[in-house]
Amino acid sequence: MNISRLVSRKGFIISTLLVFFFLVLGLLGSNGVISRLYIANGTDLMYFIGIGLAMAIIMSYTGYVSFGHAVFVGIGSFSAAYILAVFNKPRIMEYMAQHDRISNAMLSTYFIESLLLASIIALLVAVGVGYAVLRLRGAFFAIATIGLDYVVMYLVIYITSMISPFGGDELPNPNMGLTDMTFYWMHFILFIATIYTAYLVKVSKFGYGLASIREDEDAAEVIGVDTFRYKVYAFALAAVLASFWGIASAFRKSYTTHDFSLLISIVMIVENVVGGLGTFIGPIIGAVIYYILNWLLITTAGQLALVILGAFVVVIVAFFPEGIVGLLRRKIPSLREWLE
Amino acid sequence: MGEPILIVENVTKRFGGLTALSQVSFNVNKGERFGIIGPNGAGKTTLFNVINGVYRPDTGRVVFKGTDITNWPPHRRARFGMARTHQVVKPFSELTVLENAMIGALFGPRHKDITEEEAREIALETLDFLGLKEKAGLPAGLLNVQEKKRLELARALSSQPEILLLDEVLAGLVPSEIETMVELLKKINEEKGVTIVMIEHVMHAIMNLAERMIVLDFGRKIAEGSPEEVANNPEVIAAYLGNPELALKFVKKG
Amino acid sequence: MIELTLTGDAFLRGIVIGLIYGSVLGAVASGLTIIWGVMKVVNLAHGHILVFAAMMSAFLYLTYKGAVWFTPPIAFIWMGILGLAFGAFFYYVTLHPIIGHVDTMTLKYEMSSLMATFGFGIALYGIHYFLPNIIPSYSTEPSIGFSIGGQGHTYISFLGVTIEKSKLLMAALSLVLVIVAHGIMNWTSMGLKIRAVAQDARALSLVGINPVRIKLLTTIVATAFAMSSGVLYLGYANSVTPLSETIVAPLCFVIVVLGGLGSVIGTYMGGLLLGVIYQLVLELTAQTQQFAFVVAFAVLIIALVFKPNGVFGNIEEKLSRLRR
Repeated sequence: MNISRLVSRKGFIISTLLVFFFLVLGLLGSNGVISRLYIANGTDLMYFIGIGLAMAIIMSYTGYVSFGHAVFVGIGSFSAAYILAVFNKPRIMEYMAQHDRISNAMLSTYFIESLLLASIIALLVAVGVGYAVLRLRGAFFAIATIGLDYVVMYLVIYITSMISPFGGDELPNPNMGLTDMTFYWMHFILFIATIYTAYLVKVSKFGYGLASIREDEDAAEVIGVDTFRYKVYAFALAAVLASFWGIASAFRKSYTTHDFSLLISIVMIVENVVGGLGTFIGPIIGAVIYYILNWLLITTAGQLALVILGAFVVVIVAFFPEGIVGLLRRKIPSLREWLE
Repeated sequence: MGEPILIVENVTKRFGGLTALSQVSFNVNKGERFGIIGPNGAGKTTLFNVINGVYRPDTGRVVFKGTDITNWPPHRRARFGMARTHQVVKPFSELTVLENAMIGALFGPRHKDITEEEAREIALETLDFLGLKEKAGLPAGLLNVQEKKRLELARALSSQPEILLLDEVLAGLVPSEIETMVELLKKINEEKGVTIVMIEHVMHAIMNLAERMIVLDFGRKIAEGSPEEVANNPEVIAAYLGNPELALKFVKKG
Repeated sequence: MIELTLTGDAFLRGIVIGLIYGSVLGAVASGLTIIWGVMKVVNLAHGHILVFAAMMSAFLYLTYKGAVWFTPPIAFIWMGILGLAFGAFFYYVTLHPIIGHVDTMTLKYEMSSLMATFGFGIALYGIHYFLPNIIPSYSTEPSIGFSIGGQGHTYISFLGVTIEKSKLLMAALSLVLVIVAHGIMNWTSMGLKIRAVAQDARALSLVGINPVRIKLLTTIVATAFAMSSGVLYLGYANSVTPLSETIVAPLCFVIVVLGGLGSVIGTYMGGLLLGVIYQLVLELTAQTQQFAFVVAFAVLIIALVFKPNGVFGNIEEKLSRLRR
């Protein structure tokens, strides 16, 4: 691909600006210039954008709504928990007996091991499931993915428990002496990977193919796009990226997030729907909106949060089916380029 | 002329109890302008769907450029040089006109080595050829019907196909637009050497345009030959309940 | 690995209990088959709606302990009537803005209505966690002790298997519900119009039938059956939580796919089949409910991939051919 073309597009500028923003935020936080609260919020925001973008590859770009997609986040958490609480447990226990924080070398190793394990499992599951389920169109695909979360997680745990027993979901020493700054930078690394991957997909030939599938799958097939293969690739990539965020979350929170998987699936969908399908920036804006909404709801309505979220989805789908970004693109044509 | 570019041999297609196509056979020669006509429900689009790979026939073969492609998926046929437009246009609405055309180029026969730059160039050239260049940056959904039809054609042409299957490309156009399109199709055929197979209802246009044609009725081929031969065929006339002299008048008009 | 208990006893239990459970499942899925099969709306709120009815019913049962009106055999009737009103609400809030017109259902409308019902379902799900704030006695995990026959006489022997009378009653009432549903869909003029609109809304508007009103009617009918069967489900299971939706909803989808979209009888038979599969797995393998659920779901995937029109195909068509 042509490099100058690649970096001149608006999506690249947006990606780099966001990366820069989080870089600055992180540096300010680590030097104590701003309060640590911002670090926690920043970590959350990266997470929300990250999962939104991961989902975007199959939903916003390809037009296939995967209802149980949080299962891949769960696979990531599970992998991280496994690497820490089972695979490396003795080493960690031993080291923690004499130090109050695991070494950077250990951290990097475990991080990479988690990424590898999660990628492998996510890939296997996504391709296996995708092969069966991506032959189905729109609504049938959605239904097939609904109970998937539950089923796959059950199978993954069942199978791995037969390979090597995995007792609990907890890590021996929560956080292993790591600070919130460490988690921030871990999220940051994954954020860079996720956002640039999403961008590259969007502007590549692969991305064009996905867009054509989303717009009119029959026409895409007839024009030469191998729709089935592309859908499987998109699904697999979306799965692997989602699993990364499960890893990030597990390191940070010291337990698998499997209990919250229902909510995470909903969040991923809401972010994409609110932002609008088909654009790069859509899911990002959707994530920011969700982030703000989430913060508002927790501090004010508490228990009504889900009700409001659900109502929000209904309103968006019924009255703003193109999402916020889609609406803006239509109303203000000059912004079209920026909101691609 | 040599080996026919497209051979359809004994194709039958059933949907449950309904036989949409029955033992249809014909050849299309390279560089030809070939017509397919017949009353509504005769099975013309179904025939296209079989040739194009959307359906697999229950019996029979489809041979393209000497290769048996009967069981190939549609995308493979596209990459092999077969392009197709639809009766009801299927634009990629949210993408720009240019992007629509580019996709044709990116996934056509040159899909392995074509760069985005080259695809863009080819797309622009095709859009220019079809008079859509000024609208290149617009979302395809905003075009009117005639423009969408031309875009569908542009998208198919950008893949630089060897054969072009056109399904009622003139439907919904006013007479002046039909004239333009007919000239355009002749140009595509003569200047670019693309074989054209077209389904049409606009009689004077297809009688004018096609060098040879077949007539389908209830899934069977009931006639084959030049436009004059077909127009004078009693079975064809009976199928349309038309006036043979009227048909001949259209032919002379061309 | 997995231990198998292949005794005749286990088989019998599996089949009989499977049929009982399956009967209830068949009724529970009937609302979905009407709205999805006939109206082409993938109602992701279906499970939430029936759980909502079950939760309400449980709450009333516990609050007015002993009152006959709130026991499942009676409650399922007025809950069904309530469902008519709730169905109208559901339609206007969720579906009308998207499909309240004469056009045919395209993929776009399918996906939009799917997402809208998804949102509605989430909101309905969330209500249960909010209600305790205003109604302190509202439990999110109610358990009713519904039984028939008094102390020591709650069980009965059915086809050689001992089963609770209450469960048997629920299964019987489920069958009644399904017959009523089938009757409405196939033997009334309203049912005819509903099925016709599903085929071609535009054509019908030309003969003076208002498709939008029919869509409203379809939703009302489907919701009434969903809520009514929710009470029967409660009567069978004796407890319910909002999370029950994650089990029941996928089962409903499996059943509808197995039995054939739009066919109430087919769906009922799909329910019986799934009930038997589910219970047999439980009886023969002594694994957890989750495992049985996984098997059931695997059945869905296989069925969807190989026979998307339902294992039983179009039962109505086959039945009508027999009559000729």
